[in-house]
Amino acid sequence: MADSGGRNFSFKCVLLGEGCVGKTSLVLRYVENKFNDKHITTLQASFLTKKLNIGGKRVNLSIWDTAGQERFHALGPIYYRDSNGAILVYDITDEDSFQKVKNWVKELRKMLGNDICLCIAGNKIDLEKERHVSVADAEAYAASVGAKHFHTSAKLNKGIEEMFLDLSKGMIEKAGQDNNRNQKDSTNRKSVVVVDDDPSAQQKTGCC
Amino acid sequence: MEKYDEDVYENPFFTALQNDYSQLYDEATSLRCTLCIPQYSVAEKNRITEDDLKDHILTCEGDGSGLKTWSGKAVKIEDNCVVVVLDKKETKVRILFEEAFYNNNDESYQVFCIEYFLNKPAPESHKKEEVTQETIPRSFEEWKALLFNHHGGKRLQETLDKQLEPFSKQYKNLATEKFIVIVEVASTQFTKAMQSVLKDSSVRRRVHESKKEMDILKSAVEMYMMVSIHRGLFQAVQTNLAAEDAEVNKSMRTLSDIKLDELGIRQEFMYNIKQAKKELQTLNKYGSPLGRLLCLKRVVSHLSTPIKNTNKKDQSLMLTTDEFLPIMIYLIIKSEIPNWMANLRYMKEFHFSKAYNFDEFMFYLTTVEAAIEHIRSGSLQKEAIKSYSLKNKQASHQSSGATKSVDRFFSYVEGGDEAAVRLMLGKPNTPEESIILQMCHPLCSCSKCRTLLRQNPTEKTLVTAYTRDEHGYTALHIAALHGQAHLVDLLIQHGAVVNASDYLGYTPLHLACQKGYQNIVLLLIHFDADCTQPDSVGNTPLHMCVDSGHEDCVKALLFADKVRTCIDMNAQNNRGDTPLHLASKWGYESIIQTLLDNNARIDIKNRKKQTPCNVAQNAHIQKMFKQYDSMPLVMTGRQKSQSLKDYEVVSIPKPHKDSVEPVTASPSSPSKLFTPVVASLDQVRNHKITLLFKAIEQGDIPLVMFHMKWNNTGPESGPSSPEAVGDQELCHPLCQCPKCSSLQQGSVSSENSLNVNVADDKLFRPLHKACQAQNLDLVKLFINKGAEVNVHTKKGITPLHLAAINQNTMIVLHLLKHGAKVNVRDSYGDTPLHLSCYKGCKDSVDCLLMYQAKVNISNSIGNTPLHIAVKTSSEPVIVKLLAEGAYPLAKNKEGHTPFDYTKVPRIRDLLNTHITKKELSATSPNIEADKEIKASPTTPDSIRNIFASFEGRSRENLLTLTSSIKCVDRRESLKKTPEVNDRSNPDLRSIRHSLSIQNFDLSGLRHVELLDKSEPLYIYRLAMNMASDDSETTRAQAFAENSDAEDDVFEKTESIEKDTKNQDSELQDEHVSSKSPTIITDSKKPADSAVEENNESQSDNIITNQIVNNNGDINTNTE
Ligand SMILES: Nc1nc2c(ncn2[C@@H]2O[C@H](COP(=O)(O)OP(=O)(O)OP(=O)(O)O)[C@@H](O)[C@H]2O)c(=O)[nH]1
Ligand SMILES: [Mg+2]
Repeated sequence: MADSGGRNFSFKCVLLGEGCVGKTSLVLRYVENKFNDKHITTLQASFLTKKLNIGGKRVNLSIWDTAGQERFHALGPIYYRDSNGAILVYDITDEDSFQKVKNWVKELRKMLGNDICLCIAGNKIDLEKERHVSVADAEAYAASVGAKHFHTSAKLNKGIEEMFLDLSKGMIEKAGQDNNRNQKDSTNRKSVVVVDDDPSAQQKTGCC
Repeated sequence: MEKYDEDVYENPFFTALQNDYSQLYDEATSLRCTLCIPQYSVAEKNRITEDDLKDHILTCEGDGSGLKTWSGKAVKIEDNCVVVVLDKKETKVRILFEEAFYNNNDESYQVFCIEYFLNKPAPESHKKEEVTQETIPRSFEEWKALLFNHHGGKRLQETLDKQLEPFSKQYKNLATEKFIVIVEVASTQFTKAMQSVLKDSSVRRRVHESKKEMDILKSAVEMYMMVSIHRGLFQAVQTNLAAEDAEVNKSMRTLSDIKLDELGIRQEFMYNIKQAKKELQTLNKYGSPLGRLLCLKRVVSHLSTPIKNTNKKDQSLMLTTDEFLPIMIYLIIKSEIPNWMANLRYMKEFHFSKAYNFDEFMFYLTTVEAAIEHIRSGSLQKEAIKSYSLKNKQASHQSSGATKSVDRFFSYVEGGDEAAVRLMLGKPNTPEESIILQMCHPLCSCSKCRTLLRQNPTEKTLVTAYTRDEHGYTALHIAALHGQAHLVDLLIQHGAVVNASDYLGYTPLHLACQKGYQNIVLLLIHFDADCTQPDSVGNTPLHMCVDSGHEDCVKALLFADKVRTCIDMNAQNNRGDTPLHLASKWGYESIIQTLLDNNARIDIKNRKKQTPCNVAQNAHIQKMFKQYDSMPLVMTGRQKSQSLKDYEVVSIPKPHKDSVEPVTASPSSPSKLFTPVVASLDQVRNHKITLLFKAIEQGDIPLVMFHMKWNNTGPESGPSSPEAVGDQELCHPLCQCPKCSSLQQGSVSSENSLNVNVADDKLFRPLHKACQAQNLDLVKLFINKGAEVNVHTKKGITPLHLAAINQNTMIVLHLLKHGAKVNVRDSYGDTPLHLSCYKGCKDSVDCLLMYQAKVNISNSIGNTPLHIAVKTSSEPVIVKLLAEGAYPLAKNKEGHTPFDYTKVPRIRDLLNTHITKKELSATSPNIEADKEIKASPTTPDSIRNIFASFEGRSRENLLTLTSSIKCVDRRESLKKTPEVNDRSNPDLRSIRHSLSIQNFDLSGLRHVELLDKSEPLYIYRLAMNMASDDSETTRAQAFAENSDAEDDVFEKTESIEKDTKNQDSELQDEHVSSKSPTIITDSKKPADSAVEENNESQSDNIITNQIVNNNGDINTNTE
């Protein structure tokens, strides 16, 4: 195979947020393919993967949806452990759900530090009329915690693709940083799997 | 399926498009067209033209419905294939994977990597090959073939086997190592195995081709290696995680009755869940972590099978995380896999290849872990309760008035709202005991009594304590299920049926045991709940609490067993499992210890021919059984001839021959009996106790007082002293209700200095020791200091037993004076009287009889004191016993009468004269009623006789009879049959019976209730109705009905099988508690009319037995 200097990334991205904000809807919309409807043969939508190719960098994105019901809240850490990215979803018509996002951010930063890329999604923008979370507040908050903010609608398929692309780029960047750092202090971060296609290729190039 | 993968940027087809036709490429991508790229191996072999490229760019028609190629050909996408028309024939070209690419505006377009060209027909052979290539081995054999099916493969296998062989020798100590060590040992082994495999040149060549081949190889090596070493390895993992698993099992089993809707799972998934459960239950069959992960994957694919009869497009039926997590919780609980933690860690840490489907497997494992965590957290139990109330609320919105109040009632019970429950039940509809006592006679209808009764009117509401919900639960079930201890008493006061069973045969006791509410268990036992009743699959309450790991409840049941032999340690359920099997399977070590200490048998086999040891999951538990097994004689089941051995254990100076058995077979290792088994108390305390007991043995009173930190010999005073906390103040000695626990805490805190009731590991107490040392002064001292007189050791030995066997009449007398229960049995069913007879100690026998020792009581092998006295040939004792009404023809379990045990003519004469005397008087009621009925199941005539004699009595006689019945201490005078039948079959009768309670028509309360045995106090109520109505006709009618049934009983007794009878005798106990046989007083001659309802005849059956029983007692007392 030819040497392209291409790299394969494998990322885990978890969706968190209160119940009914639209996490499941967002993921389904994102992986849905209107031409190639796989869901006819399988009903499984709990573990979803998507392959991205961002300028030759290949990303294998595993998207982990979580159950947002309050009763399962305590299980969060089990799911977000080892994640490279998290999408924190709130419903723009529900002030409380935005508060929940803030709690999640705090928890994630505490548990995973800056190792994780964060994205905040204000979902259901098709219901702009009933908005209860101000755009300015939400964006200001996101900026303050180093997260990107996206306005999405699972119903209208708005902002979703952009959000995942941006998050992936963020994760690639972070992986690159880590990789550089790792080369210095030689500690390998488990959660980012950087796989070179061909061991021989690596030898030839030496670095990317 | 291992998915095909390649980097499209390296594909010649793609690079041609991107580089050589960049204009076309830019145009197509900015329009977000979909690119189809033939896979590398195909593209490589062909020259790529512009037409080829244009045939592989798909564009959307304006409205987005149809697809066309750039060159204008129509295309469809179906079943993960691109469908084109080639040579007028539809051709399917499979999409290997799809990837989202981004154009210069960061807009995405799809790239399909396809199997072949869209515009060139694929060679037939090629097609087939590709399809098979993508599946991974399905069975272990296929994996092996993959590794070794090449030239030199055999040698490779041999090398690998040689390498793996020593591992199994190493693992023996592995279980004791830290978990991380086990992982590292195995991981090293995996690396070694990989090295050896890769030394093989043909394997190396194969792997060199692609990363995918390498992944498959790794998986194969893992599979092969783990399958061959997993036995020891997994065992070590299990042993390492035994404690965690036991904890998880406890939570899991407590929830074992959970329903789909309680977890919010939609019923539509039911079918899939069933299939998935079957698959999941095979988990432990797979040796390697990969095998188990593949099993999990199959479970998930079962779950995600499209559901029939529903719209496929309906996305709401997709298996999303919202469904998946609860379903996994459900499956884990229902799968009955006893080693989840071990499995979880095994799949996680020992899955070394980490290649095939790794992300997906991690997701499944995470879900399993989350599910287990959720089960463990205990929040499910709260949830279940919430959902129940929610359901009730919803129901109450829709339904009519009657059900509404029922639902409300149930949710009050559930929530423990005592005031509301009380209000809804109204006043107890049976008269208070106190009122009865004020009456001339329970049936009296004189004006004074009537006014008494009128002050306590019977009120009826829409609900009663019998009302049932859709599970067949009564309010008492609900209270037990939700731990509402304070309602138990209230409900029972209102006539709730203690032994009512639901659709599945669960009694409230079952539920309390399952949920682990010790206080309720104790309360129910206090109210004479049947501890042996099996549910529909044969589980007794003991099974239930062992199954869900509630040690405190197990202890409560065992405690009850000490008070009145009532549980069967070795009962088998429908699977043939004894409680010990269950404890072993789920890994509850301390429960196993408790059961073993209580003589649970370790040799019983279940249906799968497994002993408790066979079902053990880890080495800890197997060791427990092995230790126990190797212990000489100690507790390896209770052998008949051992009955007196326990007294030897406590070192009676004079050894005695075991002469209780007609067939002498006395094993000869009594001294070894005292192998210390438990050392549960902490050492310091233990040491103190040892010192104290030594002092007692030596009779050194000052030293005893020193150890006890007593300054004088007077009674202890002050409310803080534990001795002052009598049994009366506690609801129950083991009760844990807030009131009692504070009292008990008081006594625990002052236990720093030794308490007069302190017990050693065999539950011997100072008083036992004093009796054993035959030191009257010490006995007096201890009693003075508040020692409990009726304490028993693990073997059920009370101080009185010890005094009796030591022939110390003074101590016997002293103990009796201080309230020692005279008819108490040890674990072999012997009462002190048995022991005194055994020793031939006439004085003690006199004393015991003076204190109403029952003369015809039989021990667990059926011997009465007379049997024993005859065997020891102690004439004075025999004379005395006979004079007290001992029955010379009582049969023991082997069918021997005392008569059979002697050849001494004088004694035979003595017995003979008595036999004839008895027969002349033509009554034989002074026998242990239930015993006797058992002994002669084919002679209903004898029961008839009892009745005949009964009816012949005058009214006065019967009045004394009733009043004496009132004073009868039920526990003393009634005994449970010690032998227990095989309970593995559900007793349909009892279930039917409780169901009949459910159909109980309240409007017919007056009449039907009289005969419904489900209400323990019904006889009282009958009496009350009589009295208040003052209607002779009603009374006569009611009695006539009763008498009818009585007649029926005789036929019944003949036909009822043995176990049913057992059931009856249990029921009988329950009924006597209401002290109610007075109804018989006026009973007329049986009429001949048939009894329509089984129910009725049953209830009367009970009355009959009851009479027999009481009758027996009274004769003993009055003669
Ligand atoms: N109008 C509108 N409704 C949406 C949108 N996204 C989701 N919903 C609706 O919101 C509801 C909840 O969506 P889910 O995707 O199940 O929400 P979730 O976050 O997965 O909820 P949990 O799984 O309970 O945590 C559904 O009825 C969706 O149809 C949106 O963008 N616009
Ligand atoms: Mg969801």
